[in-house]
Amino acid sequence: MGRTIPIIKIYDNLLVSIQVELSDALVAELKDDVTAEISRTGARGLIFEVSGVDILDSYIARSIRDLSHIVQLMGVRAVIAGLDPSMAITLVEMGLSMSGVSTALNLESALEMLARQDRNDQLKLDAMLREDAAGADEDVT
Amino acid sequence: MNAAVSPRVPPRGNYGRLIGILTEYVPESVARGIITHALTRTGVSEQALEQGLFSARLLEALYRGVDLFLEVPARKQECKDRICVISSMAPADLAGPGPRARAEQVNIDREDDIVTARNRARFMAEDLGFSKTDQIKIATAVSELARNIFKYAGRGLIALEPQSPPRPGIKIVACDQGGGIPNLDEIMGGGYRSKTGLGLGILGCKRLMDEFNIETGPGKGTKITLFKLKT
Repeated sequence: MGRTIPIIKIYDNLLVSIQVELSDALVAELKDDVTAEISRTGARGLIFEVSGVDILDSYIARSIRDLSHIVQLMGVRAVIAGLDPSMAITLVEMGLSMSGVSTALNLESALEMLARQDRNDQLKLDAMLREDAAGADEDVT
Repeated sequence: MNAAVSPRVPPRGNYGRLIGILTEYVPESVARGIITHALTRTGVSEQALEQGLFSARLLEALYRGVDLFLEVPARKQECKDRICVISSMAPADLAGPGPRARAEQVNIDREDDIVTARNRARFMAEDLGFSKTDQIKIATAVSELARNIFKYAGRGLIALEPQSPPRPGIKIVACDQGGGIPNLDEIMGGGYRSKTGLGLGILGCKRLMDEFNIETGPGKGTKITLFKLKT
C-alpha cells in the first residue's frame, strides 16, 4: 500500500514533490489522493515541487496544470515551485501555456507566497467583519 | 533492466580493480553504488567494463561519484588519479569533447520505454556537447514522440543518430505502424487540442527542433524525423 507520490502537510499547505515519472495511472492516483487529502486536512494551499522532475513534456505539464485547476475549484491555491530554467524555456518555446497557475522559484518562495496571500485574505476578512460589526452597531442605535 | 551489483563479479578485471581502489576510500556498499550509478548513467554494462570498455564519459561519471562521497580534496584527487590510471587513459584525453556517441534505437512497447527513450536522448545530447537547455529540448521532443507512439500506435521505435560535421547534431527518427494521423493539418495549424494534451506534442516537437519532417496517412503508420543542429 502507500502512496507512490507522498503528500506532506506543512502548515496549512500540502506539499507534493514529484520525483518519479508520471504515468497515466499515477496522474489519476494523484488527482484522487490530492483532492481527498485537501478535504481531509482543510489545507489552503498546494505546492507542486518539480525540481526533481527530469523532463516536463506536454503531457506531464498539462497533468500538473489540470490538477492545479482542480484544486483551485476547491478553493485551494496551487503553486508550482522549483521549475528548472531550461525546462521553463522549453515549455515556453513549445507553446505550452500554464495559465491560471501560480509559480515560485523554489519551495521557500512558494511557502512565503502562500503565507502572504493567506495573511492578506485574513486582513480582508477582518476588515469585512469589522465593517459588519460597525454596521450592526449603527442599526442598533 | 540493468544488471545490478552482484557478488558473482570476480575481484579481477576493471570492476574488481575499481572496487579495490574505491574501498580504500569508502565503504564497499558505497563503492558498488558509485560504479553501478556510473554504469547506469553511461549505459555501459558490467561485462563491457570488465572487457576494458572505459569511456571518458564513464570515467567522468565515476569522478562525479568520488566527488560526492569523498570529502578531503587531496584524497579525492588521489582516488581519481588511480581510477584514471587503470582506465589506461591519459588525463589529457578527458579534456576534449566526449567520445563520439553511437547511434541507438529504443523500442517503445510500454509506458516505461518513454522514460528510457528520453534518457538515452538526453545522455547522447550531453555526449555530443549540446547545451543544457538544448539537452532538455531534445529529451522533451523525444518524450513527446515516444508518448505519441505509446498512446496512439501502441508500439514503435525511436532511433537516435549522432550527426557529424559539416552539420553536427542529433537526428531523431520515430516510426510506428499505427493508424497514422488523420488530422495532421489541423494539428500542425495549432488549432487542435486533444483531451490528453497530446495535440501539442507534435507541434511542440517542431518548435523545439531545427528540422521537422512527418510522413503519415490513414493506415500507413507514422514516421517523424527531427534534427537539432549543434551550434
